[in-house]
Amino acid sequence: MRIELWTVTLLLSLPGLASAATPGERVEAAAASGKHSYVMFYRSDDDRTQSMAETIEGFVSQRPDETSWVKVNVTDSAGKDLVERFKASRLPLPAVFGLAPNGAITFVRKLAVDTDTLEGGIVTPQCSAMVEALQRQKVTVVCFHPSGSPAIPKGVQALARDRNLGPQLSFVSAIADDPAEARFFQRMRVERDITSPAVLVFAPPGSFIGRFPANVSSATLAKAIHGSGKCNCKKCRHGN
Amino acid sequence: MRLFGMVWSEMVRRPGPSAAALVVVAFGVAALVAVESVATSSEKRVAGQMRTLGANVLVLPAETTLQDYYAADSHGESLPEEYASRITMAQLKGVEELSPRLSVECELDESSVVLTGVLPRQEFYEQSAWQSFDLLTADIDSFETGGGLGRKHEGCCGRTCQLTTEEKRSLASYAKTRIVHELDRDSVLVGADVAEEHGFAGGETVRLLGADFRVAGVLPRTGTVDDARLLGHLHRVQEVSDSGPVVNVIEVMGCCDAMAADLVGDLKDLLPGARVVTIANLVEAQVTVNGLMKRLSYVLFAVLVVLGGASVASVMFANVSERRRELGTLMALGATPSTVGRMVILKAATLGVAGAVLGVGLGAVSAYAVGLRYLGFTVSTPPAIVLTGFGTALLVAVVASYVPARRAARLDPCTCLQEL
Repeated sequence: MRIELWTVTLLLSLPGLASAATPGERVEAAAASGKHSYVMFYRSDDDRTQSMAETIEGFVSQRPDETSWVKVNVTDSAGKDLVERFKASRLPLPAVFGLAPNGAITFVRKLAVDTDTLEGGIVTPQCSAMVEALQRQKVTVVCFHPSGSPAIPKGVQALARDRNLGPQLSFVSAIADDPAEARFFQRMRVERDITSPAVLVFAPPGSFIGRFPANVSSATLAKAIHGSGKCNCKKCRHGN
Repeated sequence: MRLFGMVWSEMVRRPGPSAAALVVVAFGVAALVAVESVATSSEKRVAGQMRTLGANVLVLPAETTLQDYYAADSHGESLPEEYASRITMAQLKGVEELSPRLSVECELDESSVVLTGVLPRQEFYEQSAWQSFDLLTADIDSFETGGGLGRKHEGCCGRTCQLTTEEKRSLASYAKTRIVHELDRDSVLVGADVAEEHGFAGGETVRLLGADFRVAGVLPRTGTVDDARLLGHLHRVQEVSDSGPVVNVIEVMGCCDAMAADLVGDLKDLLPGARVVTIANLVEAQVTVNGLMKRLSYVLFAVLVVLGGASVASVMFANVSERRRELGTLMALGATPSTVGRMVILKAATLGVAGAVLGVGLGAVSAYAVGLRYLGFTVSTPPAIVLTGFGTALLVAVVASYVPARRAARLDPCTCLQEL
């Protein structure tokens, strides 16, 4: 019995057999190990497909601990779950999706991709939480905290308790002394040496509503959200 | 005997000439009313389309020609569905909604209906969200220079922007947006006319193109071709009709004129193989026809004045000549020249009014029938056109009878009596 288990483990670890897992399973396995995935869809192995595959493969080979990739032919039943999830058979192909470990889609490119895009698709955990919330159609309030000061601003706390807006919001926090979030600060144009929290508000799918200081009131935040047209309030008609 | 009674009995006694004049006036008024009614209704329709659809754009196969916005998917040509994804992925500013449509003919209870495949709004939201990160980083970059979409959106008057999620889900909003929010693959929504004809209320199962669909609901009446259609999920319609991933048209709903200003150029650049048509392009031909009809109505007005006037004048001259002895007798019995003149004018006015009544009725009915049968919209006759018809007919009749009336008033009763 012990030999049989050993044999199974050995067989599963062989590269040839590991690739027998479906593309969907490989994406799941990569996410479970905290890796970003690039899912490339194609229909025919033409020049564009080959060029895109080479770019992705070259990039992933340099970042094997952070990234993985799968190549899915939209006519192949093995990748059916991914094809259906991304409705890839109806996209201009080849196309590539960048996926964060939490399932957030960090980018999608059709016909061609470059290494800058692939690099940009690697996001921090809090950034991927923000993107995932926006992809769930939530207005997202992101608090950037100075080092050693994770206290949520009072205006944001009050907004979270708002009976009308609260359920439609998602809240994300990032702290300056967390090295894993350094890139998130940079991309959101927030200095890491801030002395008081900065509050950034985003509306789905990806509209930047504004940046507010730590002492912002919930009323000011609510007004900005109403103005974005994403508040979904029964009585709010921002055009009127 | 009162003056009108005398006029009336004279008209009854000699119906032939009066009827001839009446017919000429009636036809003139009918033509004027019909053409003016069609032109006015058509102008209203164009204005309405520009008001409600002005910011909208149609993406069509390159080879199609088009006359009606609402039937833009009825030309039988197709273009790849991926064009819709290209538009979504390009994240063009000013695009509020997308509606790719594929229409196929099918049988329902032995009658022919059109099944239209549409892609629910929810699926576009999903596709749009794939680019959340790209969008928000670009938006942050442009925010400082006033380019932030979140901020630009303030004051936007787009139709969908005005709806809450609940309102978007409600089928009632379809009449306003022509977009279905959610629709599962095995369901259909039924247009108001189809529901009425087949007695659908929701929950029934219908068999279309060999597949069973559940009737998820009845759409509100829109006054468009959709009332006579069934709407299914685009991908299911493609499957059952064996069409492949194609559509007949992609309707792009512009958020509002201001935000959609560059949309047409952007779409043409993005989809070089397709034909991009704006509502202004679409109604251009109709606007030209409206202009022609307006000019035609001026011609008809002139014809009414000349022909109607000549006809009334001729009838009245003949009438005065024919009644010389009768009029002379009346004057000998005490009728004043002005009474005789008024009798002639009153007869002409009666002809004018009767011709106008007939003409307005005939014109309004013809315009309505032509609209319904050939133009595909309801033509109504505005009160102003009715008044114009009446006024013109009356004025022409009175002016045309002035000279015969003067001649009648100048008759010498002695001379007339000598002729007896």
